[in-house]
Amino acid sequence: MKSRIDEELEAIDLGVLGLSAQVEEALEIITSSSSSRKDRMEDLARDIEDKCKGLELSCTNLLLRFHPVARDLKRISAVLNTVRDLSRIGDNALDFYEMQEYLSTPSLFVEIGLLDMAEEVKKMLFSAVSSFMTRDLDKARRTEANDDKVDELFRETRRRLVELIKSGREEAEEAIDLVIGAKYLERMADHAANIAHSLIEENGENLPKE
Amino acid sequence: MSEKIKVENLHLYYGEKEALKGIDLSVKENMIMSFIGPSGCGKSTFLRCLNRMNDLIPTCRIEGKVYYGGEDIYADKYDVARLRKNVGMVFQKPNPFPFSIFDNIAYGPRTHGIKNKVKLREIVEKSLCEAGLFDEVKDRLNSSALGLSGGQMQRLCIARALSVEPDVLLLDEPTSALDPISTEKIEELLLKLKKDYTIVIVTHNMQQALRISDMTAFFLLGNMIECDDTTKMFSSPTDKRTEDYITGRFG
Amino acid sequence: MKKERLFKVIFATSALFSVVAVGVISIFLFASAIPTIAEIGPLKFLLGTTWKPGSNLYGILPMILGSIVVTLISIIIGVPLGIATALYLTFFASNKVKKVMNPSVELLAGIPSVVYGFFGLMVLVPIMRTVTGNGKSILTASILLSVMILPTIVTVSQSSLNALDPALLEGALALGDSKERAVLRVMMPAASSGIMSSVVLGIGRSIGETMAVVMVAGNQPRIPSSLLEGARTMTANIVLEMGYAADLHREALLATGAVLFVFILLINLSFSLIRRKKK
Repeated sequence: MKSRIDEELEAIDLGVLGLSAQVEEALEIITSSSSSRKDRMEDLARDIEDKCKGLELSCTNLLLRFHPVARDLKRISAVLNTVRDLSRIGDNALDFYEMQEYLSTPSLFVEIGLLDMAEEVKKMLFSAVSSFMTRDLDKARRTEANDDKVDELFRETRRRLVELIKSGREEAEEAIDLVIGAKYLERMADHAANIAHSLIEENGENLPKE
Repeated sequence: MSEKIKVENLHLYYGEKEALKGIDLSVKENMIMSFIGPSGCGKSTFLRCLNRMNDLIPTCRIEGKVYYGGEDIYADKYDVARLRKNVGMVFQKPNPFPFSIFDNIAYGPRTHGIKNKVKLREIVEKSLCEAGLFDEVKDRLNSSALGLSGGQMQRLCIARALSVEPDVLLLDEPTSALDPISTEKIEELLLKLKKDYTIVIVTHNMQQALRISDMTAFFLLGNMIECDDTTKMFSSPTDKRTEDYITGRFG
Repeated sequence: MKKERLFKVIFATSALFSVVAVGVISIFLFASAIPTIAEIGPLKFLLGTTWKPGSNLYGILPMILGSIVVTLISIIIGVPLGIATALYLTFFASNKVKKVMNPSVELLAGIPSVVYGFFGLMVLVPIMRTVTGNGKSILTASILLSVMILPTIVTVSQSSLNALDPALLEGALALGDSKERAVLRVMMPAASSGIMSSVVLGIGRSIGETMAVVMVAGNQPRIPSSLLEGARTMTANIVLEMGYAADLHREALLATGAVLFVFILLINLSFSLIRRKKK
């Protein structure tokens, strides 16, 4: 017979899954070139925010009602951290999207390497969430390590932006916004790495002996 | 911090049935240790071994050693009255004597030979103050103790235990029959008493163990499974059985 | 709903029955006693030291004193013995011992007064004669009565001691007291109300005992000068002469009954006052 707290933890897990799916959708939008999905973005961002609030409330209610200890407490802490990280990723995705809208030269997106970065971030998020849900510690560690790759891409993007500014091309004006955009992506990668890290914190050391 | 009580390989039998199966435990001075575990696991039985209250049960037999003050309390010719003076006990349901508040507290000192009225009055006042009850009852020391509320009665029982100047206090689920406010008062009292006494408390309430105890021992089916720093035990227990119990996964 | 009311009526009626019974007995007794006492003269009746119906002398003081002394001494012997037995059985006896002692005590309660009387006559009286010179005396009667009231005191005290919370004793022991002292200092006082009830019942039985007393007390209707002399109790007085009494003599015996009744009322009243004061 499943205990009540297990049922509630499962429900929360499902909520996290749903939330992460929406955040992934947001990343899809900013990496796709199709304009039809663009209108979704604002609704999506609002959805993501509501869902995060709802999940945070569920977690704190569980803390209130059950006074969890040991592995339950660790799990709820990890979930709260993950929800907050997903919420930040959602915010950053919205900001990136808004920057994209202002961009008069969409091709720069690819040229500067932002698309590569975004794809990498997408992969990281997917991997982080799946490891969190399946409690796959190895995957989580690999995801954390991926942050370095994104940092490298960031440096490459930065290098290309410097070249663009030096080139004196007309599009160079957009460089400022693109730098900010790159920063958003880097932040998103950090948050994804945090999600992986939460799992490792939850499970890494001091597991009870059978 | 020195060791106040040391238990070595304690076995307890009710006739043929083994109720405690080889317990080893050490209680340090001036700390609060709590015993937790499911019903029937032996924690109350074990607590009662520490002041030889199990002697009252005719079919009960003890093997092993319990050291207090360097002596094995189960040795032949050990002075049990002196032991119980030094190791006091408070029970789950408050059990004041049907006498006045004064006579309740004075009972212990009188038992140990104190007759002088002035001295008795001093001891009664001191004990009631220590238990945080004096202000509430100072005007009615001669009224019956049975007229007090449940929480007051339990504090009276604590004062009564303190009246014989023990250095260890054993409490068997002292707040399980009380309302939350009385419970809080008693928990605060125990935290205050910790400075001068060594306290062992059996509790069903894990939140209580978390709130007030420094160390926690987990009992199951007559065995002590784990004994550790309270915060550590409740956040990262060493044994899976402990974790299953404290997370409420037990059947 | 109707069934409830029906039961209420049945219970109330049953309860009323006791009240009615006491009422009827009282009325009967006092209806004839009061005029009789008035006729004899209250002082002459209650304080008169000579009982000689033949000479129209109806002083029942010797009998009043006889009842009081015999009861008092039986209490002095029986109550401590009974309480000690009850304490032993409740707190110190092993189950094996209890298995033997409890039925024995209960059996004592079931022995009819006449049988006690015979026992007294056949066994106690000769012993007393050898030891004190006089077989049928106040002392003999008191000893016999103390045995008769023992089961009452033991069983009622035992049941109130058993009803006590064992945690009280544990509390005393946890303070370092010995079991023996704790039983005396805590448990006995805690059961004081029940123990007092047992004593009241004992007194009631003792003062009202007739057959056994008649057979061993001597029955001389005069104030004795020592415990080793014979005396007559109020109850003996009634039973010895009722058979052949007539007119005023008979009325005087009834009035003795009324006096006895008043005594019992006073004893019960004083005990309930004591109990109320304790609370």
